[in-house]
Amino acid sequence: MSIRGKLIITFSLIVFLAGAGLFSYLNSSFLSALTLEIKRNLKSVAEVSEGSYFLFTETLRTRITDWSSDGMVRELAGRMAKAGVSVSERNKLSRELGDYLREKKMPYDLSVTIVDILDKDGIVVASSRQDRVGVNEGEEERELGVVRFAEAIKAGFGETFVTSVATEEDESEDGMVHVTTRIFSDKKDVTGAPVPFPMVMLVHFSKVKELSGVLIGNFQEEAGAMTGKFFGSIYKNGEIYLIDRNGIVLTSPGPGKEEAVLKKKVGEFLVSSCFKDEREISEEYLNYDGVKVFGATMCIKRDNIILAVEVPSDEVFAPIREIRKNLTIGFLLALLLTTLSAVLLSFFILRSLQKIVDAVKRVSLNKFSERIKVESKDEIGYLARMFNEMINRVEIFQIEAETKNKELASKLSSIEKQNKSLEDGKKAMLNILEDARELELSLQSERDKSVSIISSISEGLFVVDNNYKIIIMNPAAERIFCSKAKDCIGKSPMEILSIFKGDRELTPEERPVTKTIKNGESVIVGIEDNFYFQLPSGKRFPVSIATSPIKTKELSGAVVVFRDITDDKLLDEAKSSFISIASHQLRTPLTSVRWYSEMLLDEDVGVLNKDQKEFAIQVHAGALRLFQTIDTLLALSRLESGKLQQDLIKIDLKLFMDGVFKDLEPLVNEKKLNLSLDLPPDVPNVLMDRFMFREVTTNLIANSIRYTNIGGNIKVSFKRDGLSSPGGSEDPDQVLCAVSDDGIGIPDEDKDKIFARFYRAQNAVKKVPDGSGLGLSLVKSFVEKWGGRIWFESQVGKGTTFYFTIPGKSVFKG
Amino acid sequence: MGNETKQKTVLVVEDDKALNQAIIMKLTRKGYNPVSVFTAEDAMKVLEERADKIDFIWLDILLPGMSGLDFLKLVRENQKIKDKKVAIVSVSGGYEKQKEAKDLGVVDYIIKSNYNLNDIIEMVSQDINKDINDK
Repeated sequence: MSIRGKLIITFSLIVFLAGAGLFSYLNSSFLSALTLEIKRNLKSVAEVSEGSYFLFTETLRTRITDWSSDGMVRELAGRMAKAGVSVSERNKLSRELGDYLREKKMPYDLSVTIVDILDKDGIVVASSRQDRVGVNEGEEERELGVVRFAEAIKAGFGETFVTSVATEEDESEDGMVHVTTRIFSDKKDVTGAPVPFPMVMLVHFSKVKELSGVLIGNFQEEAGAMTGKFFGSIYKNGEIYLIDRNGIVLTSPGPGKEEAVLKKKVGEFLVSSCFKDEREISEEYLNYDGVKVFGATMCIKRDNIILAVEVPSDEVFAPIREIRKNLTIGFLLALLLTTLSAVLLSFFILRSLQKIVDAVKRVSLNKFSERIKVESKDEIGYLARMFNEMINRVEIFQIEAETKNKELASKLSSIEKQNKSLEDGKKAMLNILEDARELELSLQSERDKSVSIISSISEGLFVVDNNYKIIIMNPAAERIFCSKAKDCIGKSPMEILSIFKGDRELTPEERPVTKTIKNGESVIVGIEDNFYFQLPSGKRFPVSIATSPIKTKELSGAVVVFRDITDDKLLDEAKSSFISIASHQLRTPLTSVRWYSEMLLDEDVGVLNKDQKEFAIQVHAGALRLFQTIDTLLALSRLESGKLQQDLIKIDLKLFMDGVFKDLEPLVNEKKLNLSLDLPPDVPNVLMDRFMFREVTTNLIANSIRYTNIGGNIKVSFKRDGLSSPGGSEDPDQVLCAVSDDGIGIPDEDKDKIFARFYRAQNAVKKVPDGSGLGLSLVKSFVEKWGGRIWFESQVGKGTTFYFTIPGKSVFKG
Repeated sequence: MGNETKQKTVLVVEDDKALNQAIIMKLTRKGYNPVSVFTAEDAMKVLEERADKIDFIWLDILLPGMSGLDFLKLVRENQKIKDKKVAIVSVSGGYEKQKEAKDLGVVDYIIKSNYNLNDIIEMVSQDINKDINDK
């Protein structure tokens, strides 16, 4: 924040605080002074008004005292009070008294509306208004409290009783004042006191309006004191009025005030403070309309009346509001002036400071010639002079530094010469390094050659370390698996592709790369294995795969080479369908050969001689062999095109194998072989496709027969074996079948191709020239179709054992 | 063998001339009255003309023009001849074909290349007799 800002804020804050303090002090002192004054004023006005009231009522008293002691009134009242007066006499007296009062007395005072004479029970016995005779004023007193009869009937001479009455409908519509006094005779008793009649005079004055004026001070204008009238001129809304014992407003509070105020009720506390606590109050309270007022009361016990003087608080505090307004304006002006002066002051001070600031800026840009011109004698001037002095010194230092720099430069040049000789040494060193680099480059070019070979082969290739992470991948593989080589490096092959065999996904353990890394074996997957790669995108294609372990000191990973064999597969399928069609086309003519040779042998067309019969037998047998080959081919092509359906039925292994042996009996006998079956009783029956199972067992046994020398041994054994095949997963119900012979065996070089279609081992071709090379291919396909595995062990000259499994799910249960 | 009181008429539908000839010869010897046709279309003509005279149909599947199975469907849809007893005698024995034929109500499905002709004649003969006995 700038100095200017700070100055303005500080000054404003001080003025603000001072102003606020002054304001609150003045406010509170004015407030208390005003309150004190109003209370005092109200009290004195109330006292003056009370005096006026008394003066006023005194004239009323004089009037009634005068009238009640009138000779005629005493005369007539005395006769009425006498005992033994007849009713008619009494009535005559009553009329006479009423007429006298109306005609001889009332004309002297127009404010008198009615004059009643009451007997000892408070009943009107005579009245200026004849119709009032018989009215019970005593009862009215008890009920309404507007007449003071009870006191008057017992009172002494000269005592009068005043009641202010708001209105009394049965007598007059205007407000009235009732005054009562006892009537005495002109005789005196022994003590000299007048003798009273049991009679009371009640005078009704219609003077309530007048009474309002009285309170305000009409009667006393010349008294010069703070009268009600004067009060009214100061406080425009000031009010003076009377309240009766029940808290009802009796008189209009001032000229121009609505009569509606009459009969309103004031707060209970005003009445109770007067008549209970006998305390005259002067304080702030709520008036009959709920408006906040300052008020003072006078209690007039004699007449059961309270006199109240009130000024609305608003009006009392009006001067304070005016003062507050003036104070606020003054305060704001002061604030404005302060801010203005702060701005001006800072402008003059800062102008000098700005010069210093500018100079410092220039000095910081190394312009040491800079000096400040500030003439003022204050702190800023001092600062400027000090600054100038400081710059002088800096300038001197700089000159010294420059000369020292020059000395340093000359020293440096000598050091540089030493450096140069060192540089020569370095060059020699670099030459040696250069040679080393050439060596490295030649090594690198060797490596590049390997890399370019890997890159250029069209087969996909990747290398996996023994943590199953891909560490190298060639472009052919990249094109298939990843948009960028980096995306695949470091990932596991399981992440970037799934492998399916037909429709079944391989488990991680079954995958070729797992087998290679775990067991160190090479795995070759050909077209007949029906393997597919499926990419995360869902793209799927058939593959052939070769995996090979990488062995340095120990097994460190595997090389995987694969090829998309979609085209090969299409070709293979075309071949399959060709085979299928060809098989059908071959069968029909072959059936002809079979049937016609049969008919010849049946001698349907004449008797044959011995040679003719022999020839026909050869034709018939050749046709049968050809059928077998065709059936095998057809089964294979069906299998591959996925058209082979398994028709599962329960097979009793004993009965089934007996049937197979019986079919093969002629061949076995021909070579005098020993064919045996080992079927332990715990081996269960199976649920399989009869045709497929028969093809598998018959083919394997027929192979053994074919490649075993005369007099050899063939054994077919079944056993229940949960873990039989190498690398197979556990299956407790699995059944293992082994077909072993002591025949010619399979040469090592043929072992990996023995299941390939049309492939025949060298020694097998020699031994039996006309085999089709389809049998084992079909057997393998069938075994895998039912979910089993097939493998073999063989040694040339010693014999061969083929194993296959029947999975637990194919075991007949129940 | 061949002791039936009434000579049965068998409609033989087989396109291969040699096989057709052999079958006719064997059936005649067996005592049946075979009617030889080489196509399904001709077979349908014979059936329409002499429906009540044909007791049994010997049907190949692979035929030039309409196939044996399509012919069989037409037979089953034709009110007049829908109840004719039929045996399939074919070189092809695929699972689907066998199922389709069974669904069309054939009394037998014989793969002809698997058997000697005598055996087939015996099987068909049994099918014909069974037919009579059932009735």
